[in-house]
Amino acid sequence: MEDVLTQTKFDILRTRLTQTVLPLTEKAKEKAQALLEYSDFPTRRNEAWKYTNVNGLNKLLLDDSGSKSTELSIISKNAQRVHVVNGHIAKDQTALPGVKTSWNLLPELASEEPFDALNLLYCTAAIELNFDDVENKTIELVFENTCNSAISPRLFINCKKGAKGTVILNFQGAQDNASFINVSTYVEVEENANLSIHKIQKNGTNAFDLQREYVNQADNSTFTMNTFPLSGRMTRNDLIINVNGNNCETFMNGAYTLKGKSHCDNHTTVDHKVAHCYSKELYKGVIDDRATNVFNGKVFVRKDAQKINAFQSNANILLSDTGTVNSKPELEIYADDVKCSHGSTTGQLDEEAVFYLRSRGLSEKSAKELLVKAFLGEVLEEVEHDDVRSYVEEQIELHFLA
Amino acid sequence: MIEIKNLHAKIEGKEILKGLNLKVNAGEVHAIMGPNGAGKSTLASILAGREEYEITEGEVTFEGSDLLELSTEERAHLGLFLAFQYPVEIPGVSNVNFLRTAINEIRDAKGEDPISAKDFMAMVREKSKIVELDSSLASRSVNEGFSGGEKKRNEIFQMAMLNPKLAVLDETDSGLDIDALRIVAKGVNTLKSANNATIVITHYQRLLDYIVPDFVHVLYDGRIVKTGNKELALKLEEKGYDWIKEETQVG
Amino acid sequence: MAQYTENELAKDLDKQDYKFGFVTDVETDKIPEGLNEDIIRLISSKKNEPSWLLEYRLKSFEIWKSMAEPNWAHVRYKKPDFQKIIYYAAPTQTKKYESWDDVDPEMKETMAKLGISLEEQKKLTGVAVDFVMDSVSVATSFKSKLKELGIIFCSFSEAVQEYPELVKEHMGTVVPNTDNFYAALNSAVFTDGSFCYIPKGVRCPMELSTYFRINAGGTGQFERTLVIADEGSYVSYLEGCTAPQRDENQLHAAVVELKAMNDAEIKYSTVQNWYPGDENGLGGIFNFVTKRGICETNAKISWTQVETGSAVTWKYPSCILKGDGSIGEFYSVAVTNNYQQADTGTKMIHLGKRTKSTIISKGISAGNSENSYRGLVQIQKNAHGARNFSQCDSLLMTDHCGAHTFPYIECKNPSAQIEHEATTSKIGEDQLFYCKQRGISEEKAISLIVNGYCKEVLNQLPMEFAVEAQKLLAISLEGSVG
Ligand SMILES: Nc1ncnc2c1ncn2[C@@H]1O[C@H](COP(=O)(O)OP(=O)(O)OP(=O)(O)O)[C@@H](O)[C@H]1O
Ligand SMILES: [Mg+2]
Repeated sequence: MEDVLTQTKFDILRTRLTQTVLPLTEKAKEKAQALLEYSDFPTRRNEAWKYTNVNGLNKLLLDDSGSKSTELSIISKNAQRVHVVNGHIAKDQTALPGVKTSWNLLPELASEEPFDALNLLYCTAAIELNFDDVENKTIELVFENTCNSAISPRLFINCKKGAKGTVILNFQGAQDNASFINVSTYVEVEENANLSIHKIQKNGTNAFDLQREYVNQADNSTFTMNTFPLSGRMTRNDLIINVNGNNCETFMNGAYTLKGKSHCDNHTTVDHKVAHCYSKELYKGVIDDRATNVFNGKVFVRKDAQKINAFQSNANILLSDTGTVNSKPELEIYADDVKCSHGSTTGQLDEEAVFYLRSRGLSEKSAKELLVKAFLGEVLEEVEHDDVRSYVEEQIELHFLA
Repeated sequence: MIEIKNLHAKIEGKEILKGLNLKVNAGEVHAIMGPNGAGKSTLASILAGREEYEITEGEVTFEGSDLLELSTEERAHLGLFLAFQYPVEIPGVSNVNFLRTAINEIRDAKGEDPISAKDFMAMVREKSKIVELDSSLASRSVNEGFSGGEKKRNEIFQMAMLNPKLAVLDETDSGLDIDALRIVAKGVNTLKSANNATIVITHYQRLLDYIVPDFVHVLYDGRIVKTGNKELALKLEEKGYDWIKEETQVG
Repeated sequence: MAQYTENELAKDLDKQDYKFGFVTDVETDKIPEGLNEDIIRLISSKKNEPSWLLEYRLKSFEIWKSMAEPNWAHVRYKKPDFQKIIYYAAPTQTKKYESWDDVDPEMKETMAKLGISLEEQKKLTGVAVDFVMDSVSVATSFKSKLKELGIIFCSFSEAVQEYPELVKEHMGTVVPNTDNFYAALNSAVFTDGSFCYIPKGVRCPMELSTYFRINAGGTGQFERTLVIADEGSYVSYLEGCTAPQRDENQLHAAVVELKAMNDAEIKYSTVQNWYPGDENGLGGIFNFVTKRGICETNAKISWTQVETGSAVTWKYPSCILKGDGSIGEFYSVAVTNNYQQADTGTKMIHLGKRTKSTIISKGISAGNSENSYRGLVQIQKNAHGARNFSQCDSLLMTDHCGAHTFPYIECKNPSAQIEHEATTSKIGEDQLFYCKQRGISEEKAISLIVNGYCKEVLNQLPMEFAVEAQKLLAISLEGSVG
């Protein structure tokens, strides 16, 4: 059959990737390979990729060229840190308690997502973080990308029973870096645990960054995911949270500042499978130049998952004639004793407010800046980690200076 | 009219009423006072038939029927009326439409014909005067966007329209300004007759200046622990509940 | 192409040893079930259509054959067998009535059974009724009065005969036959429907009203409606639907096209209570409708719908806001009970400057039903100053039903403002208790609360329709709290 003979876009991409040196079982390999063989890049017709086209991946060189040093930003001085440079764990790091970087065998694929399969087969670094006490220590993973490479970290984050933990995923790319960053993160939040993940995506202006987080929450747990896509040609985040336990709390926050030709797509799913849970989601961003933002938030409330309170909100400010905003907040509800709501707004800065500030002597530019900062401030207020919050604030500041 | 014997009730495993006795005859006004959380609203809710409460012991007879066996609406059909401590908003349903439905359902239960639109409107005009309710409120959605005081007045307006045998007013005086208090009291007094009775739940002796009770009861820890006349209310106002609590503990 | 006559078709069929033959029973004149070019030619020739229309049908059929049945909606059903459908059925009594007295008494009785007494309707001055029974329009009233104003309000077939130029100019310009699977099917096999034209500057003095109805077993209904409001005109159009109880699923795939020229306004209201199937989910109508309007400069189209019927509903009345300053509105109540499934909403496409749209949707799910709102608000590049406000609320009556919201928001203009809000909650226990304490039974209380919940939408309906809609809501929610 013709189908078999034609090369898929994945086939083309794979010719430029290097097989992982990490140990995989035959079964894991076969499963991932099979998934990739029967897939191709998603098209518009694939509902989850309706507004996001990744064909540009195949134009990336991924040959470790264009080395350029970054002015490395460390977000939390007090955190324990693991450095990953161009996808590989930097040598000569002292081992940290609760951090595992060497593997006998990597766990198998748990999703049906081709990019996850790709991540496994071409994994450049696997890291496991374990939190098992209430100390709430912060571990920062710094991903520094200086050349145009294919970067596939595979992360496992476990917050054990009753434990507390904070993770910073800090992606820093050189100025016009054109890497393909493909990250899979598997998260387990056990009973009574409390985990926060802060993700900063400050990629090179030509980089493609496709990430997915698969999160499981057990009874009485709290999970917070804060996502900050700050730069990059293409950023796609899939955050999938299965709330499997009762009395859980789930928080998802995001703030984005897009300009140039960047394309940012945040897909989130919170799946309430059992009763008495609370989830709250707030994504806000400003879109300038020819940038495009996509937001898709799904809230599922399964049958018998009663007493669920779920809130979801997406707000966008479109600053240019050539920018695009696509927003699709969704509720899918199969239980009756619930309170769910979502809202989405798209608009511009309040002209009245701009005028008011100008009448108080501010330039138009700084008036707008101030209002945008106030607009994004609502998301930053949700960020409890001081270092992360002040870093993002600073980045927003810089965004306007550039 | 109504007789409550040894009533025990629980909610979520917690016992709230612990052997409550109360008898109200036609023509009487009873006041129930008591500290916060004593179980006053619980009693009112149970009389009206709220299903969350579990009745573990006791009986209630109302107009010769076993009240506890009846559904909420059947109790209303028999002439039981509860003025809610927190009246509920029903968006999009006009007060007038709401009341006409209620009146017709009650009439239907008694085997009577529905009220004519003309008679109904005349009644609305007449009764809204009693509580000096602005006629625009009658056509607005039930309690929606009403001020706290307006909601309470609306409860009394509904009571006037439904003309119950037994009215239980749960803190209808709270949140009312002095004028509104007088108006509400006037409403209650106007509707009072030898054939009906009223139970007034309140924290303030002030209301009892206007609605003069035949009996004042103190509800404490799920029981009526003291019964007296208007003087008792004055004493409570002056001394608070501590002496009652002590007396109860000693007893 | 030479005219292909019924006789020739009969001969052709004879040659092919057609096994079904013509089914003509006492009440209806039906053609054989199934769909092919010959059937389409037969429909066209039965209706004595001009050749351009036959060609349009055949072209649409070609397009339809190349399309797949859509499956993105949040509904599950057994796909209809398109070869098991009878595409045309006309009452034998096809004579047009001059006066009401001429109408067959039996037919009057059927109308009375619709729950909306036509007799009553007739008396209501200001309501003209065009009654469509099984594809052919059998009664039309108030025609002469409308004629004085130059308003055309007639069956679609009549329009094809009498005003072919108008039909040819506008048909398929809002919903092209390439639009979607069901629109293509409708374009190939539509049997009848309504046509309405309001001349420049005329304000139609009465509500134009049509009651559709599906009657004969196994007959698919493919209505086609075209409403043209010329510059500066106004019309309010009411569409009501109902069908008697049946066991098999019946397909209904209508196309409605609205054109509001500069400064014109069209108000299109629908009350739909087709047979929803029984409480076990057996039977009921499949309602796959394409409704769309185009607004020219400063024009306004307002869709109001109360949907309580059908087993499966797939329907998105939409507005293309092409002209500057044009306005689109969508007010909807969708009630589902038992095993009903509804996937309904709207599309507001903002092309012109300062275009405005409002979406108010109230979904009520009971029993084991599934109720979805699906909508698109699209602001195109040149739609400077465009505004949209959407409010989509869902009310859940039981814990076996589903309520879903899928809004798509796409914006390409920085001066646009879009606001979307949605809530999902259970019917208020406190509200129910309050009503019951006042002596109102649970059933009545639910109907009262639900009607209140839908007020914003019901208020958009003309008076007589609103009363009927309220009754329908109550009927469809009977015994729904679990
Ligand atoms: N649904 C419920 N779940 C748990 N406890 C409840 C519930 N309803 C009432 N209670 C408890 O029952 C007790 C009695 O409450 P109730 O409302 O009857 O008091 P009250 O005498 O009316 O007080 P107040 O003067 O403040 O109105 C309180 O301790 C209250 O917290
Ligand atoms: Mg109380």
